[in-house]
Amino acid sequence: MNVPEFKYLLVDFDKSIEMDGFTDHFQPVSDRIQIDRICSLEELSESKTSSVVVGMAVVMRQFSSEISEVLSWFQRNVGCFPDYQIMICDDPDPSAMMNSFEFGVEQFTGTEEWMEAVVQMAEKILKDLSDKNSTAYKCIMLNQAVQSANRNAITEREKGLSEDAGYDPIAAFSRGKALESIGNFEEALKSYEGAEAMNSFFRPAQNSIGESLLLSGQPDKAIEVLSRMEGANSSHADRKLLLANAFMEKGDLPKAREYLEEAKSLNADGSRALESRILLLLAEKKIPDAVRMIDSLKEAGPHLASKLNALGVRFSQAGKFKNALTIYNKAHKIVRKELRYKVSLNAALACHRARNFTVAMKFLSRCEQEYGSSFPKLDKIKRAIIAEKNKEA
Amino acid sequence: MTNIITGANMTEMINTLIKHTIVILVSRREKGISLDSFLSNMGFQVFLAESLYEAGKVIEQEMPHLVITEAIVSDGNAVILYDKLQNNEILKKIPILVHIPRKVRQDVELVASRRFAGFILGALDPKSLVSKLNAVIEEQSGFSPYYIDTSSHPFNHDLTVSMNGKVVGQCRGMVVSESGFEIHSTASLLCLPGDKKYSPVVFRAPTNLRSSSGIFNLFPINKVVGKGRLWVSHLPEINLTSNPPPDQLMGNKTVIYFDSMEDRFKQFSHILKAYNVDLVYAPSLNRCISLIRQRPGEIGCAYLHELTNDASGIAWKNEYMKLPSEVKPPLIIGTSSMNAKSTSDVRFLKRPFGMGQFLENIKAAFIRSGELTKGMEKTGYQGISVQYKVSARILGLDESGGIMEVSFPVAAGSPFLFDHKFFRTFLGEDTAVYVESSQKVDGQLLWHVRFRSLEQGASKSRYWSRLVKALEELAEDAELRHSA
Repeated sequence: MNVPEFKYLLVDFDKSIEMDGFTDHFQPVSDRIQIDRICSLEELSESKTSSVVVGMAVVMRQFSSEISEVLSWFQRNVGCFPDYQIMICDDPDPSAMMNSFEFGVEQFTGTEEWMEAVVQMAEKILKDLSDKNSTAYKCIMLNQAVQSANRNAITEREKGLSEDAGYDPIAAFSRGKALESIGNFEEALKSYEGAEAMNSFFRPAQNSIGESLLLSGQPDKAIEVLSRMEGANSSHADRKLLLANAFMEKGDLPKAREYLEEAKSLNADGSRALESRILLLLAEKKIPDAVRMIDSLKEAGPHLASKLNALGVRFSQAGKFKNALTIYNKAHKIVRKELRYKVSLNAALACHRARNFTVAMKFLSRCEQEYGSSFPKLDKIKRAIIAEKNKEA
Repeated sequence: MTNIITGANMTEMINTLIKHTIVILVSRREKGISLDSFLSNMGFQVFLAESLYEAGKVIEQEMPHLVITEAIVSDGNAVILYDKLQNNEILKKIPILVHIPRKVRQDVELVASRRFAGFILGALDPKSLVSKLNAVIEEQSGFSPYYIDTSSHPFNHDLTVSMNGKVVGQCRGMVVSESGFEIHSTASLLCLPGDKKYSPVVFRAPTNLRSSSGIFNLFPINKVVGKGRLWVSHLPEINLTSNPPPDQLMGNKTVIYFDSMEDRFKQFSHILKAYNVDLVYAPSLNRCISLIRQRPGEIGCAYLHELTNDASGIAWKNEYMKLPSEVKPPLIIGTSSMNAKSTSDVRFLKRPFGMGQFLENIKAAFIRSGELTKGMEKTGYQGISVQYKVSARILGLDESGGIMEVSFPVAAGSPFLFDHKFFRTFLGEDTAVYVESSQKVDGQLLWHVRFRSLEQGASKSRYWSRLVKALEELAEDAELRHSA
C-alpha cells in the first residue's frame, strides 16, 4: 500500500477524545492523508517521516506549556497556517484562546463536532496542496528546506515565494522565517512587517518583528514592540524570554532577570530558556559558567549563535586563539545547520590570525561545504591565506 | 428514493426545510377551520375547500403534497376525488387521507374500494393525525410527491451557484461589497470580478450590514486568499466619520458584554483593552438593555456569550429589536448551535471560536451602514461588479423549486443563479431563484437549502410538466452524446 504524501496529527496527550467512528469519517481522505494520533511530546518529535505533516488538531483542556510546545513545534516544522490547525476544546477560556492565537491558531471546535471539523480541514488542505503553485504548497516546501538546512533550496524557494509575500501574510511570514534562517535579519524584518501590515491581528508576525529587531541590533525597538504585545497577553513564555534577551542587550540585567523569572514561572520551553540563561551569563561576563552550560544545549537560535561568534572574535582579536577555537567548536555543535558556515568562517579567521594556515584551510573547506558553494568573503580569506602561505614558503 | 436524509429526525428535518402543502376538503367550512389552524401552526401551508369543485381547482393550482378529505362532502365523496386525480397524469401522485367521522359500514365500504394513503376513523385526534401525516409524508420520501432525485445527475458535476454583488471599497481592513443577500460567517465565496483586469479571489468570514438600499457584506482583507489578491489591498478606503487613528485599530469603542461568568468577562476585558476596546459587564440580559439605553450612540456593539433559545431569550431579543435604530448597536451572540443563521441585525458566532474570529467580528460590528453610505458618496468610486460563486449539488427538484447542498447555511430570501446551461435555458437567462430555508445535515458540515424557482402565483402543474420534459430532453441529449 502506498504511503500518503501528507500527514495530519491528532495531538491528544490525555487520550481523552472519543475516537469511535473516526475511521469512517476520515475514510474519504484517508488514501491521500494519513492521520497520526500523538499522545506525548516524544511521539511528536518522532512524527517526521516520509509523509509531510501539513495539519494538526490539538485536544486541549487547559492551555499548558506542553500545548505551547506542540504549537511551537508546528510553527517551526510546518509553518504558521491558521487554516491548518484546530484546537478541540468545548469551552476555552479567553486566556487559552489568546495563547493559541500567539501561534496563529484561530480555529476551535467542540468535542461533539470535532470529527466533521477535522475532515473538512483535511479536505481543504488537500485541495490547497493539490496545486503545486499554491501559496500554501510553496510555504510548506520552503519550510521543509529550512528544516533540512538546505541553503540553496532555501534561497531558491524563498525567491519563488517573494511575489506571494506581497499579498499574502502567511507567505510573508514564511519568507521571513526563511530569511532569518540564513542570517538575513534585515530582510526578514521587512517581510514580517509586510505580514503585519496585511493582517494587523497576526501575532506570530508581531512576535517575530520583535525578535528580528533584536537580532538586527535594535533592542529598544524590540522592547517597545514586545512590551506592547504583553498588554493583551502576559503569559506567552517565549515572548518573556525575548524580552529578557532584549534587556540583556540593553545592559539592563535586573530587568532581564525579572523576565527570565516570569518565563520560568510559565514553564518556558527548556531549550529557549536555557539559551537565555547562557546569554545572561555571557552578559554578566561569567564566561566559564556560560561555556559549561552550552554543553547542556542541543540547539541554539540565531541570537545565541551571533553572541558566541562575537565572543570567539573577541578572543581571537585578543590573541586568545585557543579560547576562540573552544568557543567555535562548542558553537558549531549547537547552532542551526544553516548558520554553521559562519562559525567555520570565524574559526578559519582565528586560525589565520594564529598563522595556523593548514587548519584555517580545513575550516574554510568545511565552511564552503556548509554554505553549499563558495562566496566572495570566503574566497578573499582563502586568497589571503594562500598568499601568506606562499610568502612563508 | 434518495438516501440523503436518514435517521430518526428525518421528518422533523424535512418539515424544517420544506413547507408541505395540504388541501383540506370538508363538507362544511366551519368543520375545517380548527384543522386548518392546527396544521398551519405546525408549519404546513393549508388550503381549505368545501366542495369537490373547489378542491379540484385548488389541487390543480397548488399541487399539494397531501389531501385530507372527509369521506362524504357536499357535492360527492372521497372516491370521486380519488378517481378524478387518478385520471390526471400529474395529479395522481398526490396521497389522499380520508377522514370518516361516522363509523358507519356504508362509508367505510365506500372508501375501502380505492387505494387511499390512509384513513382516520371517528373524531379527529391531533396526536393520531400527526402520526398519520408523518407516515404519509415519509412514504413520499419526505419531500413532495413530485420530488425528482437529482443527487447523481450529471449537471451536478462541478456545479456552482452565483450571486451578484459589487465591491465598493475597503474600510478598516474589510472589503466592502454591496449585494442583495446576507452571507453566513462560515462561507467561503469565489469572487469573480466582471472586469478581467482583476483576478478571482476567495472571500471568507463575512459579516453583513443592512443599509437603506440593500446589504453590505464585509470581508476581512487578511482572510482573502488567491494569487491575484493584490487588487483587493488597493481598493479605495471608505472614510468614515469616526475613522480611528491608524495606531488604534479598533477605534476606542465600548462593547457591552453579557455572560453569566464574570471571570471570563475579566479575561476578555483585559485582552480587548490592549486593542482599545472598553468592555462593560452586564451581569444580566436586562442590565444589558439598560446599559445600551443609558449610553445612546456610544456603544460599538453588544456581545452575549449565550442567549437561551427559550421564551425568555426570545422575549429579550424582541425587546432588543424594539430599541430605536439610533440606539440599537449590532448584536453578536455566541452560540453552540450549528444552525444559527446570522443576519445584519444579529450575528451569531459559533462557540468555541478563536480569538482572531472574535476580534474580527467586533471590529466589523463597529462599522455602521449609514457611515459607509456617506463615505462611499465622498469617494465617488463606482465599484467593481462581481459574481460570488460557491460549489453546490442539487439533490432534487419538485413542483416549485428544489433542494441543494452547500457548505454553509444561506439566509432565507437570498437570490442566486445556477451556473449551468440547463438551468439558464429552463429558468431563463439571469433568472434568480430564492432561498426559502436551510438546514444542517446531521454529522456533516453541509447544509441543505430549499430554494424556490417558481414565481409566486404561477401554475405549479405547468412548471412541473415543463421541468419533467426538460429533464427528459437533457437525458436524451446525454445519451446521444454518449452513443456518438
